[in-house]
Amino acid sequence: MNKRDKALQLIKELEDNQDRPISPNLKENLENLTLLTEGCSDIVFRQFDFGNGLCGFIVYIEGIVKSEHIQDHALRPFLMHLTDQIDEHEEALQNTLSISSVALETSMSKVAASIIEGNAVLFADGHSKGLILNIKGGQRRSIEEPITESTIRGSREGFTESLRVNTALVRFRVKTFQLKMISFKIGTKTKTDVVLAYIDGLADPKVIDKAKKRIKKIKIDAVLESGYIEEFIEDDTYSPFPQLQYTERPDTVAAQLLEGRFAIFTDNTPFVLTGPITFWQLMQASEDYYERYLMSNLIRWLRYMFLFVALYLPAIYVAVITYHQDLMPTNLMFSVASAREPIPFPAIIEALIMEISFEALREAGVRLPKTIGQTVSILGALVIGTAAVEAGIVSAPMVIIVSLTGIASFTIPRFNLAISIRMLRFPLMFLASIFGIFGIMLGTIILVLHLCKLQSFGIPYLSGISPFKRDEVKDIFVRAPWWTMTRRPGTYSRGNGQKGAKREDPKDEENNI
Amino acid sequence: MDKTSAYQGLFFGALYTLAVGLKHAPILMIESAKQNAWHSYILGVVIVIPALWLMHRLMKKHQDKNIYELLSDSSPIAGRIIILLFSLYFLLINAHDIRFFINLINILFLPRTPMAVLGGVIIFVAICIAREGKETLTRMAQIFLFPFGILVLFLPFTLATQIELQNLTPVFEGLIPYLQSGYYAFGTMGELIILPLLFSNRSVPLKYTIFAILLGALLLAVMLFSSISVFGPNLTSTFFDPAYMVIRQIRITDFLDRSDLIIAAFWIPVIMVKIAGSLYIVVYGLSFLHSKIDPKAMYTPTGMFSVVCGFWFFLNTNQLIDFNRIKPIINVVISLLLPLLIYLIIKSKALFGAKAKH
Repeated sequence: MNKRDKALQLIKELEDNQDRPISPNLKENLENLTLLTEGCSDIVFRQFDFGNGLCGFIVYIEGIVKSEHIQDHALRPFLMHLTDQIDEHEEALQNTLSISSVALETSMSKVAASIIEGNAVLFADGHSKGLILNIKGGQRRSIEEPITESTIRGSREGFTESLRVNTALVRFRVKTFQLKMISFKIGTKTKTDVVLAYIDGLADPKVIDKAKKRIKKIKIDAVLESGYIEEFIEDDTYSPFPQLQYTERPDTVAAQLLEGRFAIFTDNTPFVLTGPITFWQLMQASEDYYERYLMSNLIRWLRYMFLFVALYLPAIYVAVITYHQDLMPTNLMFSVASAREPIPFPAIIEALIMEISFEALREAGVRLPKTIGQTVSILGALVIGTAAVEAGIVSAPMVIIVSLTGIASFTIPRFNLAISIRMLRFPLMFLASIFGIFGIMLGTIILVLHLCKLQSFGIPYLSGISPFKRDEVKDIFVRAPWWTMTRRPGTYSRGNGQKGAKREDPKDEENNI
Repeated sequence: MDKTSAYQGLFFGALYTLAVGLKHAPILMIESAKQNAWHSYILGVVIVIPALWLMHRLMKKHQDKNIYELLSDSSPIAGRIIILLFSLYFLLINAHDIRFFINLINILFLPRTPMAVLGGVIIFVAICIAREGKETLTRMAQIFLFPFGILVLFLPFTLATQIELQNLTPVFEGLIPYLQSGYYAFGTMGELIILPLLFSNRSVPLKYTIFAILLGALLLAVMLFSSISVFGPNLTSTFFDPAYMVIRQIRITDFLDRSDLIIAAFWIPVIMVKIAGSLYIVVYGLSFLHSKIDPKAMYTPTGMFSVVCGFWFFLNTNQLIDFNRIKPIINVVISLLLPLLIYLIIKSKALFGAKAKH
């Protein structure tokens, strides 16, 4: 058996948690770990002599530990003979070493796992225990404003790639021990830390059990982003509609936890999943709750209006041009007809050319470097649009329709819903080209049928409207003033449904004084 | 298990009476009662309510069972015959509605598309809806009836300038024509017997069933009121489709002078949900006839058969209208006599059962 095969066998043994005890022979431990980490240039082995005949080595991964702590808080006490025996009780070691936590471990597989997780491990000759030093660290992105969900009013903090920073950001906002955080480790290779958070007493225990079961059932070698988990746990994987929401904002997560939902934090990603969700929730933005309710309502109505524009406008244009010209006022019909006169394509082909080009431009704008991405997408749209109209490939009204649709899709606050709407435009356009308005209505019926049967963790996707919930209507098409929303949404929350008391009129208070 | 709320049952019931009821029955009602036709829906409602009350009285002891379940439990043979009769009735209703819907789409939206293609598309969508069960069906009813109902309720306001109230006078010109109009209204209202057949008393209590029939009647009356008050009874009775003609009178602005097509577009899903509902109850009824009948496998053949029956039974629009002349007679059997028979069967079984125990 060559060296590589031996290393692979050892890795497999350790990954399968087969117990291999730590040897009292320092050389043997060193050889085993060297074999295990063969080809890993970021692993550091540092050998030293304690001075009283005791020698040892420390092993850690460079970059993910606080290496300065090794020197100051782990090695110095030993080298200064503060601790002669490293197999003392954990408590005694804890007192001697100024490190947040230390542990003694006899199993090589557990020691290997802790090295991978970012701990340093100290071995000493003649001792069959490894001393695990919790000095996790390394450079991570600091807390910044969330790029995908920036607001004018509201917190500027966004999640980072560090799991515990993210959970702490929520703890800052929800100061109760009812906020539970259940840990999971998913991914046989990545061993990604995942945390399921919920507020005990508010969240529905059945939903939480369902979430736990689904998370536990995930069998995959790697979880690099919360999207991996999302696809494993959602109710209907074939639906174009998102059944979990993701957010970069700690305030959004806190608000959702307080409504009785759960959140799933995944290490190495700033995106936190929340669920169960309803369709209406995807049309709500954080600012709806921070601005005064009148303004929030106007903006919310605008969003709903543009949701319809984003979904239906190209299809309606195709249907009207192809079948129902009489729907247009005479003057408008003449101007559209004259604009379409030189166009060699039927309306559906014209619409497809423009829509697909627009989607391609948008995709290119996202992928290109930031400095030129915006320029390319704007210039591309202008240049290609103008050139296509001048060349007689597409008509000017079509360019207007596509631009309006594009702008409309950006008003949808959640990207995962916006992308679904963008996609669903195309089947509606095809139906409009075959059956006109009747086709659009058929498409709508199928869409509503799908939404009516869709569920998110057993919660109907259209809950609030169908099934109708009186309390929840206050935050669907309108956002009622905070002082009237005294109850939590009954769809998600169980137990304490009372959020607050109705406001007393301030004027009455003044009169009493 | 399907969970339907009382509100959903209410909306489904109202939708079921409104969807097609606003098309042909009003022509016959205006022919009979002229300017008084619009409020003769009250008679239709009054006739149906006792039958619905009887059904709910039966279901009161078994809160979680609907009439089909009660029938199959209490009397396997007679119960199945009655269920078969109901299924045939709803098959006939569905055939009429599908044929009517094909005609509507053909006239309003797609005059050059072959009717067979329209029939195929309509039944495909109806099958998709019916397969998802009554929970989804009632949710869809709730979603689609709301905007259409609002449009109907606002109709008199949008036509305010064209409404002439003298078209509605004299009130109560004669009792016989009025009763005749109520008889035709019963042809539409009698279809509401679907509610106790589908939903248990716990999910849709009697109160909500009555609200459903009242809401349906209110919307139909508003529609007919608008037609008569705008055109007058004599002109309205000459129209094939008074509801559509009145919608055509709406002029929101000079810019949008064909708003009728938009309103008609809102009507499409309402009719589609009704067709899916009828298909669902036919298959649901068939599933009681034999334990080996798999409902999931029955939707497509039953749906296709409904389309065939639509073309077979109704050759043209005249026959669709004429069906509304005999429909009240069928409804007397299905919506009045059968409930009475069911009541007697179940009560007598319960009585004999109790005596035997005693």
